[in-house]
Amino acid sequence: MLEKPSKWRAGLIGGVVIGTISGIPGVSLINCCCCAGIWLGGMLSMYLYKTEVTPEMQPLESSDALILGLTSGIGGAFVATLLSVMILALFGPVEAELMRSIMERVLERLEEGGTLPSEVVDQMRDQLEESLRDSSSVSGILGNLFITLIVFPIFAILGALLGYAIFRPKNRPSMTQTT
Amino acid sequence: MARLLDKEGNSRDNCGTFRMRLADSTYRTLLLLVALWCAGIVAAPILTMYDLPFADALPSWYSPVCHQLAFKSFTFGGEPWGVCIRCSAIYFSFFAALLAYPFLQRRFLRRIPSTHWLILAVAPLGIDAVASLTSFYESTTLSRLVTGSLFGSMMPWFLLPPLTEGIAQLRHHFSKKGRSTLCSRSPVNGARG
Repeated sequence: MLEKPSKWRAGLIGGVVIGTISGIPGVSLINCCCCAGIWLGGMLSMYLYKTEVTPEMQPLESSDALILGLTSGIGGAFVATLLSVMILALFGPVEAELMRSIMERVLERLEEGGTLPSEVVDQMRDQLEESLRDSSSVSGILGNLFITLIVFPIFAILGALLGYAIFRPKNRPSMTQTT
Repeated sequence: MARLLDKEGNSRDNCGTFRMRLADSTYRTLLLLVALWCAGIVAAPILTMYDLPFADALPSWYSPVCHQLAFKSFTFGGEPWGVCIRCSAIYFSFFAALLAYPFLQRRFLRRIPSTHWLILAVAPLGIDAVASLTSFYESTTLSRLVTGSLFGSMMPWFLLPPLTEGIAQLRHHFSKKGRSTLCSRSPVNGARG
């Protein structure tokens, strides 16, 4: 049986997708929906790898999903950080401004509707400003990279495992018969 | 009891025990990690309330995976949880399903479920979230809780079998001793159309 293809290509494409979704302002809102972008990246890497595996090769295994998820998650963390830094350097704090405008609208609506007392809204505004200031600093970027290097691989692995559950070979022979 | 030997001389019984032990330790580790993740969600408001160390750092761990909007989150003492209601429902129901997994798996399910179940789990959550995002309608606390719980409680059935199998395979690949093929793969998680 032929060896399986390298996982780098599929893993890195998954990583670029995760990084692009997470690093571009506005698009990163997809991750607010149960970090769907990271799940999708892991799943995509699994799908791409599955298309590379031919019937003459060793069958797809769940360990492939673990490695692909890990690769795409780590790649995604670096790509997202790189994109954020580039966007910050080229266009300024676009993401922070976008978040500020969205949050301002939400806070105004809450204040007008009387859902939250105005003191709480003011407190939330201060917290928001502080977190937006932190996100643009070097320590904020490095801290974010540290967190994403742990969180992204975990969720990308989950996505890749889900991808394996969907795309796995449907008629794999039982391994107990192979001895 | 008669024991069948594989090419390397390991008995099937030994391999079966090894595989079961590995699956057990994988399950326990996952359970512990999910418990810690869930504990962190509830600990975030408590730390903030009492101004304890890591009060600012803990919510940052959840920021890449959730919008953390206070008005869409459960609160404790006026402080929002680490993640929103929908995410809380997902993680806590995942934890509950993980706790129930060994009992239910033995009784009802021995393989990865069909993809139809996955669609059933994802579709309500997706519709509720996307419709809410596009202002088509405003999702309620109940809808977030129900759709999130449905998704979270289904996930262990899809994730745990390949995770256990995958870790066994990786262990086999990287093990210097090298165990038999029989030890590295689980027939439990085999194919199903």
